[in-house]
Order: sequence, then structure tokens, then C-alpha cells
Amino acid sequence: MDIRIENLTKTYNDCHAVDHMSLTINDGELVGLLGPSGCGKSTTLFMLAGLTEPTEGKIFFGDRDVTKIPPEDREIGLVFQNYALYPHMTVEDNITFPLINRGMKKALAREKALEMAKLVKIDQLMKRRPGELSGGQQQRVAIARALVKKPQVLLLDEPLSNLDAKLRVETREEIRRIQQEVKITTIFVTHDQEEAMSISDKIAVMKKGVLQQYEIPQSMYLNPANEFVAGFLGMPEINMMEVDVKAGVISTSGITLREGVKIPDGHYHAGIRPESFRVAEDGISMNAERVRMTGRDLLLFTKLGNTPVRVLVHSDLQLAASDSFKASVREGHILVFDKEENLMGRY
Amino acid sequence: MPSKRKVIALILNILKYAFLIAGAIFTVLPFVWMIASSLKTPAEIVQVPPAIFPKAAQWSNYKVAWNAAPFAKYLLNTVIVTVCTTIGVLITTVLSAFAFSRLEFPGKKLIFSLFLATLMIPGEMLIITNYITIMKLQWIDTYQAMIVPWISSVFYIYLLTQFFMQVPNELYLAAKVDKCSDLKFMLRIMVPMNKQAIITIAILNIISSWNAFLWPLLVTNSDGMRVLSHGLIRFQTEAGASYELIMAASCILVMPIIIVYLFLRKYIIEGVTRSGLKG
Amino acid sequence: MEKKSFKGYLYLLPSLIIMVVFTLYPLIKAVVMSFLGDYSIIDGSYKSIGFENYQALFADKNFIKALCNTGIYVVFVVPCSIIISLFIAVLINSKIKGKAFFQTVYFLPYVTSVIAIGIVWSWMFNSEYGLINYILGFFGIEPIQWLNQPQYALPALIIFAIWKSMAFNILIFLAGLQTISEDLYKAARIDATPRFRVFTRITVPGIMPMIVYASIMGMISAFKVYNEVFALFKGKAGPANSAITVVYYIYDKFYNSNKYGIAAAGSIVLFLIILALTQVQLRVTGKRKKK
Repeated sequence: MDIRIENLTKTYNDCHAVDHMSLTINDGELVGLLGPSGCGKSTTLFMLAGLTEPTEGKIFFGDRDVTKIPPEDREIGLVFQNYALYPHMTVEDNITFPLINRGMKKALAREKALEMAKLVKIDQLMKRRPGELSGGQQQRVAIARALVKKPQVLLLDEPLSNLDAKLRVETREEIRRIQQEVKITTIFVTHDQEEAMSISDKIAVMKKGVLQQYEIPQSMYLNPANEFVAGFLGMPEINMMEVDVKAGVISTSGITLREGVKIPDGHYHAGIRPESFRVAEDGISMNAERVRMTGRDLLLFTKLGNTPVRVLVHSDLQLAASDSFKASVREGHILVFDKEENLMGRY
Repeated sequence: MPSKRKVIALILNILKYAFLIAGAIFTVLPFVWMIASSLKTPAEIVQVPPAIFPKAAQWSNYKVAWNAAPFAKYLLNTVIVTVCTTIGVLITTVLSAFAFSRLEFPGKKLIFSLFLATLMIPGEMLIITNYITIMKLQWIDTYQAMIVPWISSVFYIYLLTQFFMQVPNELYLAAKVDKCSDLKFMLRIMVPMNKQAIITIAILNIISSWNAFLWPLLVTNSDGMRVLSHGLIRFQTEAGASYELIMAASCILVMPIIIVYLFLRKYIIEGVTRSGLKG
Repeated sequence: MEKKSFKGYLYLLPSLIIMVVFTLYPLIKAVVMSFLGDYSIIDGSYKSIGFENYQALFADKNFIKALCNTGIYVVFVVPCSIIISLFIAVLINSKIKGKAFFQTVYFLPYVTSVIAIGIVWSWMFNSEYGLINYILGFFGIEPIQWLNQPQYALPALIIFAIWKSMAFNILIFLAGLQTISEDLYKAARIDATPRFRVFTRITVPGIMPMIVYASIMGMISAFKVYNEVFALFKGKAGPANSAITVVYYIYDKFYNSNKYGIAAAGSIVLFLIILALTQVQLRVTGKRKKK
């Protein structure tokens, strides 16, 4: 089932929680709604679920306008951040609950529940209560409960935020696997860019209720639409600096970064990702003020003229604090932004 | 000096238990005296100095007292009133607490504040008019007169609303997505999840209904409608100095609740503590 | 959305009906009645409008006596009960064996019928065959006519009331004590704080809110004492009305003398007193919460 959102807006007391948002999600895609807290991503999800009424705009599931349809008739599965499992019911009762509400016979409902439990690998926990399960197991039960009624759309609200770091990586792969097996259009909300990038087919980045960019992860990372998206994606964070362009030369505090570009002369913002530097003999000379070992990489804290920058190099390069090194910026990895903070181009 | 410190600690410890036991004796003394007296012979009752315990337990006192007044009828009335009131209270309390904690409707806050404000009104002040109302309804000397005014309690509504509010709203939203109606959500999710609180409310209400005295006294006048506490007071005046019988009758009123208390004291103590700390 | 709003009221309806009929309406009616002279509940007729019920009320020796009795009752019952209860609660809360047993025993009076146990007390107070005079005899005290002599009626009521009120107070204090962090006591121990100082500097401040609450509740219930009197004195207010209380006075005016206006005026006075006490309570706890 593909989803079309048109001009979706939610206003609370003159404040736009979601502001004229439009996007289309293709059938079977996994889309991450990404943004800092308070950006309107959860509001969007709840509008898709039908739990929040939009102020303006329309939502289509396939050709059906569901804007005015109550949640129970939208054929959606919803997983909450805290899972919202019924604590007094067993896992089995939790999973069969939506089916029995729809008037299904108990025996059949149990059969369907077991099938779903096998898919999410909790079939041996059917008689337990949620309180006796780990966070990751509860998450699987919640997903099973959401999927058991064979919804057309699966919605997940911050599905991993209540898990510890190791479990989070494991569970997100599980979500991806389950989603691919069931081939269900899925939308999940997260504030973690790494999470969004690692499992989404497409990411929608939001800021203050406004959709900033909607793209497949790789393109978005390479071609962020604006400074916000550039800053929000990537860890360690992108280096932002002031640059001057004069006669096709980009420079920052007198240091030439690139020659022969076709941009009008002027003052701009530019972003260079830490991993966009390449150690090169003919590069810019820099001094590593601090060095942090992260395993595969070394993170160097240095200065490009007056601007503090972070540079990521391979840890084979044995550098210590206050060592100097030479590096240049890889072709096409300087992101230049205009006055409106939108991307002008990569140089 | 550790030995000296040990001695002091030991003395303090002994004093501690001595005081606690003395207090406990003071607390249970009336109960012991009641039970002991109920098993005495008339001669032992007026014996000077009194013996705490009877030489031989006169269980027949209970039979005599039971037959001296229509206690079976009183007991039945008390049970009817208690059961009906408690069922009524549970229904209205669950419905109202659910409305206040989950449903949206205009004026909700105002009505809730109004409900809370009535907690400050002493019930004693309302009795005159309520008596007139019951009279006008021609309910004097009926069960409904003893039951209906008590089937809703703002206090329990407040208590249960607090419990219901603690249930994460996501459960409600999840149930909605799963095609669960409000009524079904209340019965299938909210009620079982708050079973403990509801049992507590039921027990607290059973105790207060069972022990109710003044209102049943006002709105009934025939012997056939009397409840136990009312019947006991009547019996006290009729039995004169036959204290062994009066004490036996008192036991009949007190013992059922004490047995309930001993079995379910966890709920009662927790309920009263919660209400005390919140109120 | 409109369907929703209608639904909320549907759930609330049973409680609302009961509250309007049996709480709000009587409240208003009581206020109105208190200003009507010689009000009749049969046909709703009255002879005058004004403050005469209130004048009659405060001119009545018995009402003044009821207020005085309540005052004396508060002065004795509230502090005695609180001090003993606090002491017992602290002991139960310390490391002792049989904690559950003591807690169960001490709470017993709370659940028992005041009527039944009041009758038991009246039997214990019996001047000839009663247990209390017998025990006092060990201390060389002559038998006291507890229930028949005016000067002893109120003390008898007070003893009964202390016994009855301790149960609730102990429970509240125990709950309060459990909210005091164990770390505070550990810290005090490291600082070698004497036991008494631990009690006055940590325990008492820690459960101050419960002490305030118990005091106010004690005062409020003092004004409402009725069943206790009824049971102790066989439906009378003690010899020569010596143990009359505010609520006893109101019911007597209403039920026995049929002076509905005066009874209503008395209930309004009761309401105002309780309202004032509740406000004090809210003020004190409110301040605490802000801190």
C-alpha cells in the first residue's frame, strides 16, 4: 500500500507542529521520520494513525482518503515507544487481542498469533506476562501485536529508544528483517540519524514541523538539502565554516581549499565532513591538537585557519597529539550553502 | 566499653517491646472483654471483682441473644444493604473514574473540581434534606432508602481516577487502533489492570456500609427493616443488664468485619494509607 | 468529536445524578433552610426570613456546651492520640520482630463498628462490674461513676476516642516514616547523632505533613462525633447533656425537636468550621509542596 500525504498540517494554539507537509511513500518501503525532539515527527505519525486529527491536508492510503477515518478502520499496526503492552495479559492474549476485537474465533486467533510469534521469534514466551520479559522481547511482542491483524501500514514510534545500545543495533536489524519478510509499508519515528540511515529505504528529515528533505539515505548524506540536514546527519558532525569565494577560489581564513569553481564571488557557509579529508603530501598543513582513538579511525581535533575542525583518518596513521600532518579535501566534498542555508553545490 | 553499650541496647530493646505489648493490650482489651463477657454466665457478669475469663464458655448465650431479637433479619438486611451499596459504588466509581481519566468532554475540569469540592462538605450537613427527599420519594422504610444515596462516592472516584491516570495513555491509543471500544477497553484493560485498587475500594465500602448506623436509623422505622447496628442499639435497651447477651450480640456485628480484615488486611491498610496521604 | 463529548457524560451520569440529588441540592437547601424561621418539612412553609435561627443557636446553652465540649475533646484527644501514635509508629518502624502482627493489632479499632465497640466500652465503664474501675482499683482509686456523673462523662468519651483514633494515626505515621530516606539515618549514624536528636531532627520533620494532617483530621472528626456518644450513653448525650457534641446537637434539634431551621443553621456553622480547618490543611500542605 502506498501512502500519500498532501499538505498535512497540525496547529496547536497558533503553533505549527506540522507545517504543510507533503510526501509519497511507495508500497513496501521502510521510511524513517527523523528529526530532533519537538520537530513534529511523532505528531505526523499519530496523524497517520488517526489518533491526532489534522488541522489541514489529506492522507491517502492507496487511493483511499483516510483523513477522516478513525484509527480502528485504517488497517494500521502501531507500536509505541513504551510498547503499550497490556501488563495483566499474557503475551498470547496481547497478540490475540486485536483479532478477538474483530470478532475472530479464539482458536483461529491463537493460531495466527503463534504464526506471528514465530516470525518475531517469541513463540516460546507465549504464556509469560510482559513484566517477565526483557525490553527487546517486549518490543517483539508489540510488533507481533501490531502485525497480527495483517495491516496495510506499520507505524513505529521511537521503537528502539527504550533499549540499551547493543540491543538497539540487534533489534533494528530485526525490524528490517521482519519488514522485508512481511513486505509491509512501514514508517518509523526516530531522533537517531544512524538508526534512520542504517535501515530506511528513505529518510524524511523534519525540523520545526517542516519537511526538510526526503531522500534515500546515501543521497541525503552526500547531497543534504540544507545546512540543517547536513548537520543532523553524520557522526562525528560535519565541520561548518565561513568561506570566501574570489575568482573561483574557495578559501577559509586565507587558506585555499579549492580552485576553479564556478560560484559568484562572495561570502558563504561551507561544510566539510570529517571523513572528507584525505592525507596528502601536497595538502594543507595542520596540527593535531588532540587525538581520539575510536578503533578503526583516528579523530583529530585541529584547526583550519581559525576554524576548529575534526578530521577522521585511518588509525594506521600513527599520529599523536601536537603532531602535524598534511591533508586535502576530497573532490566534490566541500558543501557550499547560500544565504538561505540551502545547498548550492559540491566542490 | 562495648559491654556497657550492649547492656543499654538490651534495656532499650526490652522497653521497646514492653511498650508495644502494653499498647497492643490496651488496643485489644475491649475485644477480649467483649468476647469474654459474651461467654459468661449472668452470675459471672455481676461478679465483684470481675473475672476476665469465664470458668466455662457459655456458647448458649449466642443462641439466646440470636433468638431474643430478630437478628437473622437484621443480618440479612445488613448483608443486602452492604452488597447492593458496594456493587453500586463499584459501578459508578469505575464509570466516573474512566470518564475523568480517559474521555474528553466539555467541562471535564470544572466537573472534576466540583466533585472534589464536595469532599469538604460534611455528610452530617446533608442528612436533614436527604431525609426530606427520601420522605418525598416515599422511600421511608425501604431498602432503596438505605442504598441509593450511598451508591456513589466522590472519594472513591477520586482515588480510582488517580490509579487510572497512572495507566499510560498509549495503552488506550493502542486499544483504539486495535478496534477496541471505550466500554470494552474499560472492562478488559482498565478494570483488570487496577484490580487491586478496585478490591480495596470494595472492601473499604463494605466496612463502612456494614458499620453504618445513623442513616439506616433515620430512614427505617419498622423492626423488619433494621440493620445490625440499629438492632444492636435496640437490643441494648431491651436487654437491660444482661450484658452477656449484649456482648454476644455485639460480637455478631463485629466479628464478620474482623474476619474480613484479618484475611484482607493488606488491601485495607494500603487503601486507608493511600486515601489518608492523598486526602 | 461531538459524539465523544456526549459519551463522557453518559459514563458520568450515575454519579452526577447521585451527587446533584444527595449532595448539591441538600447543600443549597440547608443554606436556605437555615434562614427560614419555623420551617416545616411537610409543606415547606415558614414564618419568617432572617438570622433568627442563628440567634437561637448561639443563645442555646446546649449548643455552646457542644462547642465547649468539642474544644475540650480536641485539646485532649488530638495531642494525646498523636503523641502515643507517633511513639508506637516509630517503634513498629524500628527493627522489631512481629512488625506485621503489631500493625494488624493496632489497626483493629479502625475497622470495627463504633456502635458495637461503643457498647463494649460502656460495659467496661460500668461503675459496679466494669473492667476499668476494677483495674483502677489496683492503684487504690475508688470506683468512678463514669457514665452517670456529668463530670466523668466527657473524660469517658475522650478515653474511648483516643483508643479509637490511634489506629488511623499510627497507620498514617507508619506510611510517613517509610517515606523518610534510609540514607538520612545512615548519615546521622556516621555523625554519631544521639537517638533523641535523630528523632527530633530527622523523624519528626520528615513526617510533619502527616502530623499536620492527623491533627486537622482529628479536629474535624471531633466536631462530627455522634455514634460514640450514642453508643456510650444509650442514645443520650450523657448525664445532663454533659457529653453533647455539635453533630449530636444538630440531630437532636432535627429528629427529636423538629426544629429544622435551627438544625440547618447548626449544620452551616459545622460546615464553615470544617471548611476553615480544611483550608488550613491545604495551606500548610500546599506550602510544603512548593518548598
